[in-house]
Amino acid sequence: MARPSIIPSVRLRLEEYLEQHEAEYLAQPEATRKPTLPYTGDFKVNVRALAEAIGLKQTQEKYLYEREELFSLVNLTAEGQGLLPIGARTQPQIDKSIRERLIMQATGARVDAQAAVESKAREEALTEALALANSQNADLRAENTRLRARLEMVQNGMLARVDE
Amino acid sequence: MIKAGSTQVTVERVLSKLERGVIFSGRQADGERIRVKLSGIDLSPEIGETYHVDGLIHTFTDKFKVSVKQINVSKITRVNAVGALLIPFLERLPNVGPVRAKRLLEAFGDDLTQALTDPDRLGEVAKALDPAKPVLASKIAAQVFSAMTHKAEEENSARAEVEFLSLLEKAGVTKTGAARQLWRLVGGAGSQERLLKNPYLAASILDWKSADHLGKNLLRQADPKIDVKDHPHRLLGAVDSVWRDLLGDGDSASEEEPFLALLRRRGVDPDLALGLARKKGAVAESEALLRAPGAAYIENSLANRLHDMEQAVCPVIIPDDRRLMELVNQAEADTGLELFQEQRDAVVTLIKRAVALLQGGAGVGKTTVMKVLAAVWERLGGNVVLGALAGKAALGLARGASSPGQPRLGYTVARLISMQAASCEGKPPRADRVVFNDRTLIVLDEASMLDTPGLHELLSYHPIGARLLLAGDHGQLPPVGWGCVFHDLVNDGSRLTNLTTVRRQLSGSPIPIAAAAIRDGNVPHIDDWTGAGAGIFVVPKDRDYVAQYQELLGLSPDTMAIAARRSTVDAFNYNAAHRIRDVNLPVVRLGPLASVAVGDPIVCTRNRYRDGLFNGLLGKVTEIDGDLNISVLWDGETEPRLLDKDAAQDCELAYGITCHRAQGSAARAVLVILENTPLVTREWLYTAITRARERVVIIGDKADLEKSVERRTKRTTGFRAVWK
Repeated sequence: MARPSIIPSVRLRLEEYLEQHEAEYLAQPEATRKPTLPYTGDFKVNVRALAEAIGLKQTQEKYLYEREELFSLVNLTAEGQGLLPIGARTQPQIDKSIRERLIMQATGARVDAQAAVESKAREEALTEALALANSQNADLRAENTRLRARLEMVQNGMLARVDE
Repeated sequence: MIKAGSTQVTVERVLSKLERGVIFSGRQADGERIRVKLSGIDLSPEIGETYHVDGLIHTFTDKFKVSVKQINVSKITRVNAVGALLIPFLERLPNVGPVRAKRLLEAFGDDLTQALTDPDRLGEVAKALDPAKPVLASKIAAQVFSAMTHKAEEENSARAEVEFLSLLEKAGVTKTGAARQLWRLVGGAGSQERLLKNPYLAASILDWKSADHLGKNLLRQADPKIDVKDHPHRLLGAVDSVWRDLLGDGDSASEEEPFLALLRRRGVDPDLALGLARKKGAVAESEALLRAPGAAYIENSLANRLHDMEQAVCPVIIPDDRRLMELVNQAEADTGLELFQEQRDAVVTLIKRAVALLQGGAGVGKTTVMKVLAAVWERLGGNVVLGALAGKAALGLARGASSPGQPRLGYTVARLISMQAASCEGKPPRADRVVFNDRTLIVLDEASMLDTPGLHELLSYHPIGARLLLAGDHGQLPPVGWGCVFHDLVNDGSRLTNLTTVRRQLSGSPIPIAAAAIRDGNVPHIDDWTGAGAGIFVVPKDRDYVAQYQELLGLSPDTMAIAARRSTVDAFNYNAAHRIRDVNLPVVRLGPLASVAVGDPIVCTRNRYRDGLFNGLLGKVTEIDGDLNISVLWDGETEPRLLDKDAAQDCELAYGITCHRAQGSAARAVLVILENTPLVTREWLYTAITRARERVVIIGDKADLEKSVERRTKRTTGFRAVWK
């Protein structure tokens, strides 16, 4: 009989860990919140430390990189704390001061976002803005498709005169 | 028991894609699973999409004796998912999964869609998702809301497309490919209004009868009292329709009289239409020629590019003729070749030109010239890149141009375009380290096959200072796409070097001798086919085409059949597939053009350079896996590749192909179906015969042979007018 997958139990431990650390994060004063997830010098989630914290063996660390149901949970929390998600690449040419500035900006944005989440009116505004952005994206995608189709027509020797 | 019924179902798994049909399994609003079988309906359902289906409901029992409810669909429409129908979609969202999706359904029931789109209920949703982890749940809830707005937008877009396509269907547009192309041109929000504003847009895509029918309908829809006969949209539509047909035949330009005649045939006032087209830019003009506007842009841009290449400074210094001849002698020694004087002179002439042409029939030694020229160019400090449109031709060129001490690689034009594009975008060179810079000489063999847009795209990435040598045989057919830039450049003659003396007789085979006679306009003597032997043969025209093909196939699996008429090729493919295929093999629908089984030969019918495919590339289906993915081994490649689903739409069966599509390929045996049609010309016959390495069998009689050698292929292009 096939051995049962360990992923569900890892996921359970990970969710409990993230729940606790996110609560600790939110408990900090807004303006001075610091990430509660373990992170490296270049502000990426420290996967090894995270794996250790939830009791994974070193050979099992890979699950946090490979299994979407695990890394998407970590990233959901990490991005809210201003950290780079698992697998993100940092640009070595970005010097420390720029990185710090980016983190400051991220913190500012986070404060705004957090405030919005906590306010019902802002929640509504955010959701509406999201719907609008999605609709604008769809319009832009459609326009892009139309322009590409016209370009293909030129390749075929034709000129499609489309009155928009 | 079978009964009529209807239900709504969300797709969970696509089980099979058959010829004009699909089977998928999904879940209904009450959570019960159902199998949905569609026949004769062109649809590609995706997981998570919801459909309303009408049809006959019964119980299906599979080979493992498992019974499931099945509906054989008579009508299907895409709908927005609500309530339980949302579950398959929610289950697939990251961080939700089946348990949390079920909690949402239990908490909100039929109100689920409303709850997941109302920002006031974000807290409620989070609580329902995971009451034990409120912090994490609020983050997941935000993700679900975001996914729902995205889904709503996708559903709106899909619905708009379906409405648009059914509007076209009602207006008599039955070709799905054309309808989708129209959608791409005017699609998105406001598509129907956009179509009404451009009622004759279809004239560039559909035959005139269908486009005119649609155009008149749309014009009358906007204004029932409108006079459609001389309406400006109709006049310009007729002009576009003429261009569509001319470009389909490969012409990018026309003289005025035949153009007016084609307009007259479309039932419009030709002078009125042409006058308006001139004002509105629906025709371009050069000298006495009317030119298709899109083609004119490409041709002008290509001519400018070639002129710029000739003006650019190349850092490779070309010495005087005496020194060049010394280098030729050294290169001959390096490559172990001995050139004839005509070939030596050709190398010296060609190497001095930024844009050069090498022309000659089969066996005149073009490859030898290219090999020595490459060696001389490298001795002068340049680098050489070899290419051809087709993989086999590129491979043949590379083999011919390689020496024991100097192996060379050849690339397809598709690869050259993608490599140059990557180089222009600053991406690092690949492991094979092909370098494109101002010292590069690109040598393209079989250049008569390259259409104008293809060469235009290739040269648009060409570095300033780099050079180009086009080698080919202008006795062959022009390319399958529009234009015939190589033939035009040869006819211009100013950059041309001709090789005229045949050096190679292919091991005594009569094929090159017969081909050379046809190229010169003579009808060669051809023996009757006796069932065996190498050479060129004829069989009576009443012979069963497929039976003859099977007979040749029995002698060599490397056999190709060539016909001129599209309808002949289609009928041949249909019959050959049904008579040759193993009946036990599953047949999978490729697209509107074909269905295939493992072992079927296929051909790509459109240039898709970015996918490494081009119009006329042949391949063989090697595998169809459980998920209906199709693997194809393409000509000139060593490993089969998975066929992209989009690219599959542009592939068709290739037991038989048109001569245009056969140009880049060769086979041991070729069956030539000689029809009495204007399509069969001297160039057609010459091209068809020269595809064979060992054996040609022509189905036809002597009179048809004589007529075809007499007829000539002619193309009218604007490139000739702008290239001086």
